[in-house]
Amino acid sequence: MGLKVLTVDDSKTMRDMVSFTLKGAGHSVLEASDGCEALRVLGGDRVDLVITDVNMPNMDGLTLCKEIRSNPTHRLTPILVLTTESDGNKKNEGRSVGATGWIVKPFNPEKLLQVVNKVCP
Amino acid sequence: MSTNDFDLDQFKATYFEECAELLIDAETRLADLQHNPESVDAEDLNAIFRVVHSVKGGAGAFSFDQLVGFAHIYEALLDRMRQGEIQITEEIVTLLLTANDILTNLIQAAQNGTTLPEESFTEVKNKLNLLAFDQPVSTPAEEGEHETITPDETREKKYIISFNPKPELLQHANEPLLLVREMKELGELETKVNTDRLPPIQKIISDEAYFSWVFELISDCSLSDVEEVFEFVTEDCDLDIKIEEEATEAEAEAKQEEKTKSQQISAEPAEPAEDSSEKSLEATKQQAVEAMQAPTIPTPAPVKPNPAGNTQASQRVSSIRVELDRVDRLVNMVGELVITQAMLRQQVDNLPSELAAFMAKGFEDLGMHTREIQESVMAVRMQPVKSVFARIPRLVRELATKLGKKVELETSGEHTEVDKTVIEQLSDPLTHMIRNSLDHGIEETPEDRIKAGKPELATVTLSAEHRSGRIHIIVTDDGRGINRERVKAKAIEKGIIGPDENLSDEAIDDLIFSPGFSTAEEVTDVSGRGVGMDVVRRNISNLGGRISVQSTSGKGTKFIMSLPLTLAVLDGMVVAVGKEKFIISLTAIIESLRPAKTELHKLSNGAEVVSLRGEYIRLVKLHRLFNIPGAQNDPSQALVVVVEIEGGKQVGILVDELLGQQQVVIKSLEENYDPVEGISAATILGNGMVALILDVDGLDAMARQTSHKQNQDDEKGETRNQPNLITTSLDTKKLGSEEKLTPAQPENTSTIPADTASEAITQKYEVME
Repeated sequence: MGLKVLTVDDSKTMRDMVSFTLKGAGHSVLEASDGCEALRVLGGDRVDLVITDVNMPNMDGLTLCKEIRSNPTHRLTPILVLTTESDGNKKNEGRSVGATGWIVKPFNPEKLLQVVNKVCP
Repeated sequence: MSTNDFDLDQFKATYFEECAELLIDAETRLADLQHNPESVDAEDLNAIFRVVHSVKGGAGAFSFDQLVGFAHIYEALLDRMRQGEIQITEEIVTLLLTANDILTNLIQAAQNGTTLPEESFTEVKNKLNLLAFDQPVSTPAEEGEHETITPDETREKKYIISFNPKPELLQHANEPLLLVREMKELGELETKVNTDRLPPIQKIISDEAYFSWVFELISDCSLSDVEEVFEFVTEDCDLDIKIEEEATEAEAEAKQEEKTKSQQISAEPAEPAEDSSEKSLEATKQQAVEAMQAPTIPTPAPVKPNPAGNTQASQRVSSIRVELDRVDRLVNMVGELVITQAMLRQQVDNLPSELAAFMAKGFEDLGMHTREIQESVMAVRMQPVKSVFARIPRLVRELATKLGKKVELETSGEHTEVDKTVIEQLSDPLTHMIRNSLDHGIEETPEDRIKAGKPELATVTLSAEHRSGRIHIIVTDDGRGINRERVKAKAIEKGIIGPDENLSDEAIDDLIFSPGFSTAEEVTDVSGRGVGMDVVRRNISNLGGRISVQSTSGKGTKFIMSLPLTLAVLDGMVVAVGKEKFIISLTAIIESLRPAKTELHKLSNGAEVVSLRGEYIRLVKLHRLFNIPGAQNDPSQALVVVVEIEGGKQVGILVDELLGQQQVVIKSLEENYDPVEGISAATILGNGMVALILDVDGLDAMARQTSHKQNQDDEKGETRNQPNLITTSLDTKKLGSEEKLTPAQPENTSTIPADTASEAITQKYEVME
């Protein structure tokens, strides 16, 4: 029933909050602090959903999206991009690299669950 | 699930901790930027951007609106800068530094549960705004505001939604079925699916979109609610949403829509009812799944083997966060372990010899391991001083601007490590020293410097280094040096010294640390904050540190702050004087020797020195300073332990004998008793006795003060009536290990109660004055 979600964010606060919220809703959560680490996690695991920040060191969220989409195992895994940018630019960029949807910060637990529900069966 | 289930407050601590780290990172990079604006590293700007971005992200979650608002603008500017849209100039860097400062203050305020008065940073905010958005007016940063857009009417409406997905929709892992599910939550839904484009099954490509739908939704929700359902897919489909009012008003329009509707519906086979359409949806999905598993599917894109992941792997340092409390407990217990081990070790000597030898071997190993544990534990607490140093460049820059001086800061040794508690205490005194150097040290104006034949740009150097088991933090300026005439005049005026006192240059320089002393003509905005260098000295000495000043008139001033690396343990040499035992820090000791009579000299001012390889080393006679009976007075019969004191000078401490090296656990005198001049702390020896740890610099100072007096006393052959200061049994309970104390040793006779001891100290001061 619960989903297996990978949350990618360089901010521990954000990872903690996402993780806490999802676990509270009965999902299990994997964490990574940047795109590179996320790919390593995905290398050994199938997940139902990836939630990623955009701005991260080493590998940003958009590059991560591209990498995930180009991997046959994960190419149909929903990806949600966490973004503070509300101007639409980042959303478009996200879409162009294969993101499924986005969550506009500020972080709000209910909104997160709502969006997760929107992209995951 | 209610919002209460997700109480985010518990993450605030992590957030603020993270903020602190992020800010230091940003400061460091801004400082780099300031130094070499020409060779800007894009990664630096990116990193600073990410800092502000993360700060903002967390702040949003906790509804720190003021912080979010400011961070938003700051972030926007950084974003433009990293895109190369804004050139980096000195002014911009200054602005960034200021912005960072405000950000720090806002975070601080948020942490304290308050906010800052808006007007305190409106000016900076406007400047940022101007650069970031080309407009000075504050744009409200509240995002998602549009989400609250008026659901003007709550009447039931019929939405006709035609939805024609493109292949991208599926490729981005969106799923029409889920959209249907979501719409169903909004109201009554009728679904019609058009499967015309579906090819024969063998030709199906998994992520090609073959279906299109028309939904009829009857709901009282707003148009934006419906649009939100398709939020993620608007670009990946042809979407058309029309409202067919249930009510009859605006008939013409309604009819128009009806027309559109009928056209749309007529464009597809209308026979599938709701149920069957659901079924066919399922079927479609099933087919898609099957097709996906079919071997004929072309792989959409070549698979990259994730090279970045591997190259970055080696760079990562894995770490965990541990509460300081836990580490402290560990440090404490290891300290006790060391004491216990020392006690046991001493008991071994009382065993029959064959047994003792066997045990001794075991204890050697145990000692080694204990030591390793201790070092490892202490290493956990060590941090580079970088975190403190990182704040200094901004400080210097701001002060220099404020004072109209041109100053360059050079730092070195920022990777020198020191205990976390020391780091925490370092910031205030250091800030003060820097302020002092800029305000008082450096000439009033650049012109003054040119007149004095110096470069216009003044240099302040900040450095840290390990020295004799301590950390030395040195602030040097190339300013005008201490004006001794003025210092002296001021000290006399303030009644700190008598009008006809004859002081050495060093003593005059030292006056700036006297309470109530300030030479600034006026209390300035910079230095004058009601605290003087006396407070700095007090803070530092509370840490077991010292501060001294060296100054050359016209050339500059150098402040040397010397602090212990750790406040927990010490490698010591146990020495005996009379029947007393003292500890001298091993790192201070250079050598020990028994001088020949010919090497001993007495100076005209009464000081005794020993000549060692052509240098004269002042002797400090412990038994004199502390009035210990039964000690060896003749250096040629005793031992001289040569130690290094502040400023690299050497003094010789006269002791009866060396008893051996031992690691001792430091028990603070300040916390457990009272500070005692010449003594830095106490410890508990293996036999349970308290021994005092000597503060060699303090001893040197004491010896200078008393040498003249002693000289006279010696000549008169009088025994001074100085009370005994040594109270070996002083309140050992407070020192923490009473239960480990063995019964008082017979030789431990010079015991007086703690009350008498403090009285003794008072008296001693009287004697010295």
